[in-house]
Amino acid sequence: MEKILSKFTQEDSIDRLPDELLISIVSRLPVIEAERTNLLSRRWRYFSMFSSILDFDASRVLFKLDQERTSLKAERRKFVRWVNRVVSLHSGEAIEEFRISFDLDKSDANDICKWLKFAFEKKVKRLELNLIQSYTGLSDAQYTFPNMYDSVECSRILPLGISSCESLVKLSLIEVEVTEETLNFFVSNCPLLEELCIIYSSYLKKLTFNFPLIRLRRLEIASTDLPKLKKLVLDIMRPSGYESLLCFTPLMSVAPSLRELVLKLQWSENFMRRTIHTVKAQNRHLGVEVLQIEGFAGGDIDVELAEYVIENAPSLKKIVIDFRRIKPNVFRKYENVMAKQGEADIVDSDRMAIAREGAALLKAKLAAGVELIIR
Amino acid sequence: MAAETGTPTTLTLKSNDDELFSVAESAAILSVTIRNMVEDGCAGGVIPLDNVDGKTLASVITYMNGISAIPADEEKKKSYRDKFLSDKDFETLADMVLAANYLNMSCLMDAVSAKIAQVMEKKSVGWVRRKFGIENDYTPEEEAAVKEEHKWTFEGVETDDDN
Repeated sequence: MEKILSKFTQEDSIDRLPDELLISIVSRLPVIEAERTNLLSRRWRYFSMFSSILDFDASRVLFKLDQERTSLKAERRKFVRWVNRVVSLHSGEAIEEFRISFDLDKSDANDICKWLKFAFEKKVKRLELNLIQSYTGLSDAQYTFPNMYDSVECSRILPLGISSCESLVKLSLIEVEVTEETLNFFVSNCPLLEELCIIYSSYLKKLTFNFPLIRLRRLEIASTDLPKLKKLVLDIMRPSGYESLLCFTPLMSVAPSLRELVLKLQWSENFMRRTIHTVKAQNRHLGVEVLQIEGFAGGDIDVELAEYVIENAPSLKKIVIDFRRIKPNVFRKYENVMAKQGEADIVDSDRMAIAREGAALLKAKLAAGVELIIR
Repeated sequence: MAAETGTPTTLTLKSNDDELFSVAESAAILSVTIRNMVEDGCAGGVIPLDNVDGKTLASVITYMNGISAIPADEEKKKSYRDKFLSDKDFETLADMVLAANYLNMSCLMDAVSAKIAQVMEKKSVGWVRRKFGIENDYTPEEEAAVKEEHKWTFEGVETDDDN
């Protein structure tokens, strides 16, 4: 009997596999790698249209740019053309990943909107917009993610209805403006969502509370779906003291299994003092048992959030306060070099006094039986 | 036929070069093709698998036994698959993907396709052509045109050298 029937060439050639199997192989290659297979031979010319990992990462081009705006503009046009071409030719039914990593801005909103629509049509699992800024693009206006509670904007991206976003497992938005409402939209409509990562969003506005704009630098939630979320880590880069973390409280309310809340603060050198806000009339709904604050400074941001948790988490067992700075930033190093030893100590002891004062404030509010650990 | 008794059943599989293999039914039904035959009651005698040769079938059966011995732990299954495929040459992988497709075993099919894709990744076009026995039937003009279309995609990634 014959070996496997081969309608193609030699035994030892991959070309003896039928198209569907070659497509299955190429579909597992990231789009850049898949496109390279187009060059192999005529038969391979269009297999890349089935790539399921659409990772459009051209960030390396940004490092090579000279500082002329014209060349950034030209590269942006090329990038957008590339993505548009792949998106328009794509023939696979579903995609694992859709990722953009390039310096794009507000003026590219129409194209990005088309890409988002495409990604959701293809039941994307991992979606990332990383609109990294190159040196020349610094002054450009940040792209704003569509407001998903605006029915017109929402239907431009999800024309087949809200349920078409439910395959989403991971959403990352980097250097993209996005409202908390929109994040809440994805949190409530994507039952499989495991990971939500927002980095360098220049503002995240909470509409129900009328607090000053928050400069959220990094929020990362890594866990299984939100109803099961057990631990929430808020990693806040260089707050100046004027923001408020209370905008995260709605997020905590939609995580009934949340038991551990970790706040990591990397302060900028001088933080401002302001009035502490209190959120009234909550129904003590939080299940948080452990609150940990790293880089506690007794500033208003951390005290405010801690007070909120103390007030609203009846099952709170333990608060861990860590005074140590997470890591010195560049500015701090500079200061160490410049200041004489004694001066630096004074700065540090002032800081410690404020931090201890803040800790004492919290201690006074603690219910009996709640442990306070200070490191 | 013995499926009614509930005792462990063994199936006999026959490759297209007439080799016979015994395999536990519980492992063999990882193949949807075989499972359908069992469910249709036509697995009583010898199951002929006309598209798989003995060497490949032996390998597939090793996989069936290995993976079905692992309890429902996706991590462990994945590491078993990785190990199982790690020493296979390209020709064997191509045979396996054809067999997995014919036997309708999606987990093996996925693993082998991914493995072949992994071999291709970050390699030059010339290397892939040689390694996988692909004949370049483009005319120089056509090839230049395809390259031109993906010009920017290849920048800084593509080096069409020999390694």
